[in-house]
Amino acid sequence: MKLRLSRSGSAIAAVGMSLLALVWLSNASYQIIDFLRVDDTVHLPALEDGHQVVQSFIAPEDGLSRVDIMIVQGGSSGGQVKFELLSVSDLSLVPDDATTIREVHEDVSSLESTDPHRFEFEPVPDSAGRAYAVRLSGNGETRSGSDSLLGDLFLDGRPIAGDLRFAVFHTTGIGGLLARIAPFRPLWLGSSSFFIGLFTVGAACCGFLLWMIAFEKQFPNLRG
Amino acid sequence: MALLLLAAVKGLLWTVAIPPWRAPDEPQHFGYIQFLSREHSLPWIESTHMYQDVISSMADTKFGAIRGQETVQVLTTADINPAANHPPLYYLLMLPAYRLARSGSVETQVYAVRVWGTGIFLLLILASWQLARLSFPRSHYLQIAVPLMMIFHPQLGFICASINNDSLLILLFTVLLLELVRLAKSDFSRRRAVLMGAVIGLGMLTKSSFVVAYPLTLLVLAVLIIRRRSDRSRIIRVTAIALGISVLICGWYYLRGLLHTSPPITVEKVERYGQVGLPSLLFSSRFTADLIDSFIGNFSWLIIPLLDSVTAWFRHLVWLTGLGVAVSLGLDYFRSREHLIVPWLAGLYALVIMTYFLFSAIFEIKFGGAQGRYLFPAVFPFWALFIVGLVGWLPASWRPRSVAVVVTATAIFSTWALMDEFLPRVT
Repeated sequence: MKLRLSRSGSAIAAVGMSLLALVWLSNASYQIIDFLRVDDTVHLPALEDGHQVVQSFIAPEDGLSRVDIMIVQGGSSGGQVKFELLSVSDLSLVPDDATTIREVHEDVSSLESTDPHRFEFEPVPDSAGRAYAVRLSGNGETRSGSDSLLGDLFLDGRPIAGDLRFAVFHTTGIGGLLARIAPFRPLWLGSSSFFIGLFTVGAACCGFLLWMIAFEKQFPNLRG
Repeated sequence: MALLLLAAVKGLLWTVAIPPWRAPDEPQHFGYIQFLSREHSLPWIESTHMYQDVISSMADTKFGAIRGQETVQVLTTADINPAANHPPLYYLLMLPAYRLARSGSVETQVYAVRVWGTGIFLLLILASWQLARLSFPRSHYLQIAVPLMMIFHPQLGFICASINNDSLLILLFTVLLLELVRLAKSDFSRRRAVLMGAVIGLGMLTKSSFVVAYPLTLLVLAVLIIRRRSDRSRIIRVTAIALGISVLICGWYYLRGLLHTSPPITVEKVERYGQVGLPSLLFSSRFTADLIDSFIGNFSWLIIPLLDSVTAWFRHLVWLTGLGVAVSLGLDYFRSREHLIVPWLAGLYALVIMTYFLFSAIFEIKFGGAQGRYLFPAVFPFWALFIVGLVGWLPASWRPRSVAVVVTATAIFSTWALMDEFLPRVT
């Protein structure tokens, strides 16, 4: 009886996990990097009250949904940083009254790390090929490290050399994610079905093994 | 069997997920294999340079994108290949896969070597399962759970899927631990001594940092000599045989290096924590945090770290499990029939972890740029004590399902690291 329970239970766990994996894969969305700027970036002064920094760029893909910016705490950990995504017509001219299409507020205290901070927002549907700008302003002390990519950098409305250290992401489904692993892989290694197949087999093994761990007493062979 | 299948799946998923050259020093390690195949001899560092086809492939695969640049020439054929300083075993083992794919493109050769190298990861999981059986003879769920935690360890999967001699180093050190535990369980046979010596010798032919195995093994043997007086002569014989065999296997390579006079190669030190001494560095929270963060996951060329809030949570968990192990051992003193791990084994595993932590700190002071993967030889001890620390203080009947919850959480974490952090962010 125990052996039958162990076999059927582990089989159900394996099939259940692989189905769960397939459902999850088909419904999940991913924020995929479009470009990254690390080198040749500038260090800016603290973003104290009234100061702002604007970085323009062109979004390469539809679904613009995240911008990571290297921004760290300055002298104090109080106050807030305001992040705005602006729709602009010209990379080199960002007017003060540019339309704000997304806005995110973060506490300066959340900027603890030495890694870029993630500003995530609702995906912009038709963003591919359009010019945007991010505007950072704050009422706390923050500093932004480094330079930008396709556009220009403005400090308090004045253009300055260099770029912010930043990265731009767009949201896509599993197809968009797996398309990234196609180039340069030989034979079937770059095919989506191979990746999904592996993932499903892995989930089945995982379900089977988790069942064995949780109900080890049902497996006399294991105990012997 | 299911463990090995899952390990193969995990290894292959990472293998295909990593674009060419997006793993630490992969062009250099691959260059070593190319050198062996083309020159039919072992390399000397001062005369081993990068090959043009690798440099061209790095340009074709837009390697510069990892720094946000369209075109960047990171290497030239005039650059010395620093991997040539490593012993040859790993590269010799990878040679058949390289030769098999020789007619294909450089990228095809890279993937052929990576897929072949997945076998090392499978052997690591097999050795870990054997070690788990010895470490937890009465807790069968842990015999599966500890290797599973290793399978789900994101950075371990990433490193073992790339072209890097660390994977063989980790395997051989885990096998050495297996041999040491067998020895400590009173197996003082000649066979054990020969196997131990062979593993140390092969480890030294993989990477010189395996030298840590000598003091560790001698310490274990010294403790055994003190505690098992009746077996003293047999243990001394084991020590002599193991040392002799290991020197026989790897001695020629190091002698070759000693006899060769080469111009000094200057390595620029990466200064990250200021010029501090060893004690200050060991107790520097930033050094420890960076080491733990890159131990659990910092991909590509250490430019895709996991989310800071997640790694911070993991760091807290590591300290908590340290406390958990101490509490478990304390409780086991009163309920000896329920213990998960015997104290001497917990002590040995803690010693291995501390030894590699110390080694990483010394490396940081001498060369800079120490990474979490330098702790990987201690990866089995780490996950074994991690689980003991999490569930060892619970009543025995609660443990299997608690472990299942921990492993499930780790599986989700591992999937998130690959699918939501690495793949979308690798450029």
